[in-house]
Amino acid sequence: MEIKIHKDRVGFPMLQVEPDLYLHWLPITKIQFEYFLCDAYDRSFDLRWYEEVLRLNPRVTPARISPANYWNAFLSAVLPAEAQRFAFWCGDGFRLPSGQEWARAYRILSAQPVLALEKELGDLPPRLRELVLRTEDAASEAARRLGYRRSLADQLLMRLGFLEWVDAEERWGAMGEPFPELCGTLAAPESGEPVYPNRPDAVRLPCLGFRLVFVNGKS
Amino acid sequence: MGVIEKLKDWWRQWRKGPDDPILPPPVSLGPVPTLEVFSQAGHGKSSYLWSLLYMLRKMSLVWPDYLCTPQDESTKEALKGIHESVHGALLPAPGPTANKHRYELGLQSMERWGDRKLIVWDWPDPVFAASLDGNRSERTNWLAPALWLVSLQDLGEARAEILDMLFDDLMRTRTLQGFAAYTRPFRLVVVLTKADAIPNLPPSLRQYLKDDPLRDAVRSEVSLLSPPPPFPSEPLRLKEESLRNYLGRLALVHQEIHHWLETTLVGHMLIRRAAAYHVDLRFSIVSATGSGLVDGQSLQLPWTPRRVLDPLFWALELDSVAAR
Repeated sequence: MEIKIHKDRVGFPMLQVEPDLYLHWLPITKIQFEYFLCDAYDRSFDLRWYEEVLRLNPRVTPARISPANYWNAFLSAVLPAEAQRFAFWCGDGFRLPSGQEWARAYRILSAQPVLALEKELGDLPPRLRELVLRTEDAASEAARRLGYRRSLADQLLMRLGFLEWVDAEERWGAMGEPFPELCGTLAAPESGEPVYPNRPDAVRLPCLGFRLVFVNGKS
Repeated sequence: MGVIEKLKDWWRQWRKGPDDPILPPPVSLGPVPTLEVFSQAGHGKSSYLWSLLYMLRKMSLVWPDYLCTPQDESTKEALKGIHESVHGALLPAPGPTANKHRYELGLQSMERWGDRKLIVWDWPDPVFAASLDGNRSERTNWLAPALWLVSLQDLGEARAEILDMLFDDLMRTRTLQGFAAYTRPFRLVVVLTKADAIPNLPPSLRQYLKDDPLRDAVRSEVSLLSPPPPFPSEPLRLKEESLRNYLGRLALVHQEIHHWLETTLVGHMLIRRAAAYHVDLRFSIVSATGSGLVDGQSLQLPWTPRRVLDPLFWALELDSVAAR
């Protein structure tokens, strides 16, 4: 598989999974979202809002990421509308994936072996590079302990990451397999079917995060 | 009182029957309708029983001639309530005394097991909630196959390391009730509940929970009010051969859990202790709700019970073997 990388507004890598479709390498991190918080003029995202989100999934610095806490590096407990607001800030072509896009990407990437990240993502800014590489080390060790055989999809934390918001036929669904210690679910990304949270617009759940797709040439 | 009077008095007491305050109630022989369920408070007993009863109704999807019929008014009302709660993603109220129920069902035309009556109590049990059980211990049918529900993560690190001692409590209570381990061996299914949240569950067992074909059968159910699914799947039929295959898989999963537990000291001791007590032991894993995403009394994902019928299948099998 030829690796093509696109970078989002703050330099985070996105992997090409289809000719015009790129997927964030990892779920959205707190660092990415903090760029948005500093830049966006939106009263909904004030300090109290962020404190509430951090209460549900605390922050960890890249240097302290470990197999027991790597999910703390990512933004979760956000509602779909908030994720959409972030996508809008990222610019034209960025949006939440549909359930089918997410499932297709998983099918493609789970058939691929893991990549040597140092080589593929070597040109990232140092802070992002440290975040990506330390997350990779922690997640691969966590997967090893659980007995998971990893594929490229696992490297992108589509398993042992979060449930991720997807746009699923006019309602909000979630796909992915969260790390069991983060929350117990039997969501199965390999089934290709989203799960449907009962109150997606009201309840913040620590195991619900998101990532974006970038559709090349589309707004 | 003379000896003759004492004997007459004893005889009068004996003839009073099942409500006798001194003697344990008579236990029927042959296929035993009761399913005894032991569990510490908070280990998911009510949720498990809700899921079991919910799925028992749904088995008509895979056994076309099968019928699940409540045998009394209170069971019928309870089933209606459970059905509505499951659809509304509500959980049973917490606390050992919040969901006191006796469920009695007639299960007709089950493949392999035929017709059975099933009586199951959601009640603080005589071993792990002895102070709350009233006279329940005297009503326990110790000859029936029993389930022991264990939520490893709710036990916590320290108590999980004394699992074998908790098992010993169960066996000693049974012995004290007059059921000797040697002459009347115990048939016990150890059910690991809330398995979705067991952090180090082997991946093959996690996959077993994900792949529950009965869950898929329920999902493919055509509702009276909702439009049919866009791509209807082939309906599952658990006829003789497919049920045999299912039970074969059940046996493999039992062995896999056995091997997994044996890698730990406490699991090894539990298995050794069960052997010493001549217990006919089986292992099973279930997830009554399918996820642990809870907000107060509500589930945040729809109820999706996984493998909750497995323990009952084991109980029916153990009962069939004993009856042969």
